[in-house]
Amino acid sequence: MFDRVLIANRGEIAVRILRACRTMGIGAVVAYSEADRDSLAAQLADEAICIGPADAKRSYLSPSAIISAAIVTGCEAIHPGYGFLSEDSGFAEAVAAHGLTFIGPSAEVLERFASKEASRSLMARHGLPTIPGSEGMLRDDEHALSEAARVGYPVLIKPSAGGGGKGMRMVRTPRELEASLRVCRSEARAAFGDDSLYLEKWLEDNRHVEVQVVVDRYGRGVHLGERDCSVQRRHQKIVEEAPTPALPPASRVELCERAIAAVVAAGYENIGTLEFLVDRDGSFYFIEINCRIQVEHPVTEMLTGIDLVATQIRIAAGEPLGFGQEDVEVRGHAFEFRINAEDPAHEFRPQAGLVERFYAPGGPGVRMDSHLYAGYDVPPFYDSLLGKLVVWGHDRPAAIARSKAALDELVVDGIVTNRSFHRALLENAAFVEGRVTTNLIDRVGTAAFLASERG
Amino acid sequence: MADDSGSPVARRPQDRLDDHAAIDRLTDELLPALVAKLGANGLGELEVREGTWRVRLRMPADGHAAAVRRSPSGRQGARAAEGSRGEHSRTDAAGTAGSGHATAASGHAQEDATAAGPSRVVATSPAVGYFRPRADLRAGTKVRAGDRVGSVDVLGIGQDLVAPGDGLIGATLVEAGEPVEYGQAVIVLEQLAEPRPHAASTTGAQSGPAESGPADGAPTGGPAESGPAPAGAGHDGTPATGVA
Repeated sequence: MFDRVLIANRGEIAVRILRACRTMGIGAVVAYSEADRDSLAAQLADEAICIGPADAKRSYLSPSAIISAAIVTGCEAIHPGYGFLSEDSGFAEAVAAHGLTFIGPSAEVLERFASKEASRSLMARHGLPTIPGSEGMLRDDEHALSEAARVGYPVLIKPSAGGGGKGMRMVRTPRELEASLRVCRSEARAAFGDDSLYLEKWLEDNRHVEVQVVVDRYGRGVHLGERDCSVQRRHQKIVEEAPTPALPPASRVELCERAIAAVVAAGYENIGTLEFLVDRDGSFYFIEINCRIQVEHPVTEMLTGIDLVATQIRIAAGEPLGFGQEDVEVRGHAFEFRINAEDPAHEFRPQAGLVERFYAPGGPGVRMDSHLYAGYDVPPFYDSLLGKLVVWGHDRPAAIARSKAALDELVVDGIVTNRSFHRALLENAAFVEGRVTTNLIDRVGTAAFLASERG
Repeated sequence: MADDSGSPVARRPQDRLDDHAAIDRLTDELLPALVAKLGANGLGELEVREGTWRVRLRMPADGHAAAVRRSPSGRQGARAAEGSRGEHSRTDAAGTAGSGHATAASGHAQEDATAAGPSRVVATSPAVGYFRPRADLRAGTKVRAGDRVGSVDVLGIGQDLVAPGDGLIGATLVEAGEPVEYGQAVIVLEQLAEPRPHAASTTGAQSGPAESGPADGAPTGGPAESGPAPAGAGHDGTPATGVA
């Protein structure tokens, strides 16, 4: 096992990784940008090292800065967290070339799953159904139009690199497609440095369900059940839950078993998440695999009791998984609410500034993963995630009841958050009945949710 | 210091941008002039108000540039002195940084830092890596703004450590081959002249201490100067003009 790990990320996930390191007796060094000098992770770390200015390109996205920081602080491994360089095969390769361990899949595995389009066809070869879509990347507008006509409108334009909804657009007509291509390309280029786009058939009223997998270096893999991320706004996940209310138990087991069989057969390693769309009649389609720890991993941790970050570190250190599918027990129901620095009353405009008060909720089954503290100045340079409220109950109604109490208890003063949106969502009939589809919030509009808020 | 009243004020992104603009303006324009005034008159303390901002400069009683409360540079200074391979502890730094309120204010601490070293600028590390001094430079060597005064070895590739202003090489705060982090103070430059022409009335008073500076070579409070502001304000914000 490693003696010392460099955490090359920020915000709540840096704190989360630091906690895993502490639990495992590993020294934790936090690499931070100048904007994060006063961050909680930097304060809690065994050592903290400034790697660059606020601009992520020269800090959290700079392979040389991060690798150099790991070397000068005597770390043996680098945990990239999520986002930034977490799925960058070039970075993983450079880390290995300097005699360090990248905590995640190997560069070769990342490369194999780097393109969504390539992983779709790879997983299709290993037996997973995929959504009808374009043959390869869109070469130009003409190619896009002909492929869209072949697949059938509406279609979803998607960037090959990255995720998080950037560069994505649903279009219903050739005219809309033509108008959107340039915007999607420039968004994709700005966000990921790669403007390759592809098309997928748009499934109306679908659910977003994903399977958490864990595979060691020796080809032994288990799934840890699924999560439902259907509560989205403009393709950004807001609330996650597990198990999914969209599928009956037998279908859930089938989905998870097919997913783990396919990734193991495709030679995946370390932890990962296979994302699926589930349509109205319960058919599921593989869309992509996230080769990293996900924002919503605590939902699975609540249900299984397995520390996913620790597992990730152990696998990277070359340890065998140490447990089998029969050892994994999924209990109860859990939600994760992303607490974002966004104003739901004003188009979810991002917020930044001084947090004057912060009270984290508590009690049985309540977990708050956050980097906030009173007096923390939220920098304007990065994403708006302030923390995650994760709530477990023995069943869905119990988890909802606890979630309401926990959200009411949460206090963040000085900066506007989306807490009121979550609270309103918990009163929404579609949500309470487990009928939320990925397009519901955009269709109904956030105002409708806020209107139903009580208290 | 600005806005140190402690009263809770909601800060919107626009407020922050305004603040950063104000910091930049204070650092670039107002402070050099105030610093010169403070040095020339031998005043103990000087306070200026402008709009919602208040700047207070304080000269230590012994008249020397002393360490100031700026937690990052304090930490870096400690690390440089320690000279061990990156074993400095953030926990120790947190002790000096004090409460959450104090750390939150570190973005404003630059004004204090500037006040502490009226005739010095510091070359700060451009990257994380190992410091390599320039072999031909000695204390007292005259350099100009933009001159390479050393380098930082990042994965085998040297990145230039550049003089942010004209001056004489003063104390080197990091041993050759020791690790440095981004923004870390590495070499103190004793300035030859006042940074701004409009502070010309004080230049005569400055030339003495500036030349005697390199001789003692002690890194007293050196790291205090010119550290980068966390929120991206210019980190070589003390422009030096005119050479003696």
